[in-house]
Amino acid sequence: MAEMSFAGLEYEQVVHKYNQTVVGICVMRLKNWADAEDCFQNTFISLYKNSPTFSDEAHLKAWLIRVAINECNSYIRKNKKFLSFDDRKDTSVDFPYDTSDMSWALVKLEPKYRDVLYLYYCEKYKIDEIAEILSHNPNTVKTLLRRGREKLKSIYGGDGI
Amino acid sequence: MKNINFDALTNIKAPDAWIENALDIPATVEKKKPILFFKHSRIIAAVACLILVSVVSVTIYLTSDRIVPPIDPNYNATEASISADMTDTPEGPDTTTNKEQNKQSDNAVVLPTGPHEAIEPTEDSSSAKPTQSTTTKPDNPQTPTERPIIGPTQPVEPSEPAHPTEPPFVSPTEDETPTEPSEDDPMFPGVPPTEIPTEEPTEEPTEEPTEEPTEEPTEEPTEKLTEHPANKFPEGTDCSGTTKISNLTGQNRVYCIVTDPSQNQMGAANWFTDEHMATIYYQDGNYVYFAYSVRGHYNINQSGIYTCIFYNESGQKLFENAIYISK
Repeated sequence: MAEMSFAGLEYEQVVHKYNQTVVGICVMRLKNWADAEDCFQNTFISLYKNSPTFSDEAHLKAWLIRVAINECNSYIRKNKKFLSFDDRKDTSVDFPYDTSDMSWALVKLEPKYRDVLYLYYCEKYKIDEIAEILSHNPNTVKTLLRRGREKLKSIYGGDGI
Repeated sequence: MKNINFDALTNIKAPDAWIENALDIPATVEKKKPILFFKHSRIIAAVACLILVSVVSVTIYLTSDRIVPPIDPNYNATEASISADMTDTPEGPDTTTNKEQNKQSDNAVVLPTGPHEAIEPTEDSSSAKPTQSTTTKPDNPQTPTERPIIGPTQPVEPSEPAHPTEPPFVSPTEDETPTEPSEDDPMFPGVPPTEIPTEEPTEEPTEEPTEEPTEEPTEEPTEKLTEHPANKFPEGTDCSGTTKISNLTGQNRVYCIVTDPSQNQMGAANWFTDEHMATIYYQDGNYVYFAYSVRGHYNINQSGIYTCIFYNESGQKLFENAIYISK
């Protein structure tokens, strides 16, 4: 098997280094371990099969996030007619209620706000970078970020973030 | 402000099984690589359909029985229409196959309109081979013994040449020839104008046939071809016609059957004799022009319209011409 390199990293290194990022995206979006696993695997399959050329690791990470989001959207779209999250509570992800950890509140947001807030607060991306990853206008990202904060505050009832 | 975080979401760790499966992806994908053929199945199917349609189209086109007549640079609509009108069988294109020509020969027994019996083609005509145009075989010169396809006046019988010295072709006056076609008649493109016999043809037939009839075919044909002596028939050839070269068969001979005003055939009952043989004078493109001297062969006992019908060696009617001959 010929070794493939992605921004100077071999495939195994990429998996070990960025699996947590991809898992976070998939779990946040799907809120289900089983579904998240499918999208997790599909993301790395796409990486290996397409073998894109990356300029640096930041590019590689952004590509993985974008693909993971797309995989989740595709998965939801395909299974929307057949599956109900209520039927799969056994594999759903439960985020414990915590006054300081707002993960449980984040997953309750609408996807368009959730993605922006996750990338901004969890992955520490800047607004321009988020705009590039999500293919949005930076001003749109700012608006989504502001409205997302307000919605998140209304969910957990805090002062704000 | 409350200090919050998303550690629970950020610190999610993928189960080891997920990572192992992700690491096994290269091996799984490598195994599936030989199935690349099915990856492009749609493209392959589309290409296959295109090829199939093309092959079917070409097959249908080739097997269809269409005959596209070639574009004849010398095509003359007037001549073509005349030929089509004056001959019994339709004239096919020059590229007709031998099979079609044989069919024409088989169907070429023409019954005369007169009371005479139908005369079957002779051996020459029955064994006639498909016409070979002289234009297609320039490297096959004709021997002097053969009758030239294109040539000057050749007497039907050396001992009895068509003498223009005799009171040749009657050029009747306007009062006497009410039915004769005019000079400008488009129905007779090869018919020489009776009133304008040019100088050249009037002199040649008067001398050459009587002196050296056997030498003429060797020299004169090429000159006649190059001169393009359209509308020039020797004096005395009172009945003329034209047809396509492809209509000639066998040794490219043309026979003329003359019927008198009473519709009785003149001359021998056998059509394919020297008595009925017409003379081919020249070729113009794909057409040959021939003529026949009625007065040179028969005694005209009554004035009236005489009909000259030209046939090839297969008995196929080539041209019909009606002339008025006075007593």
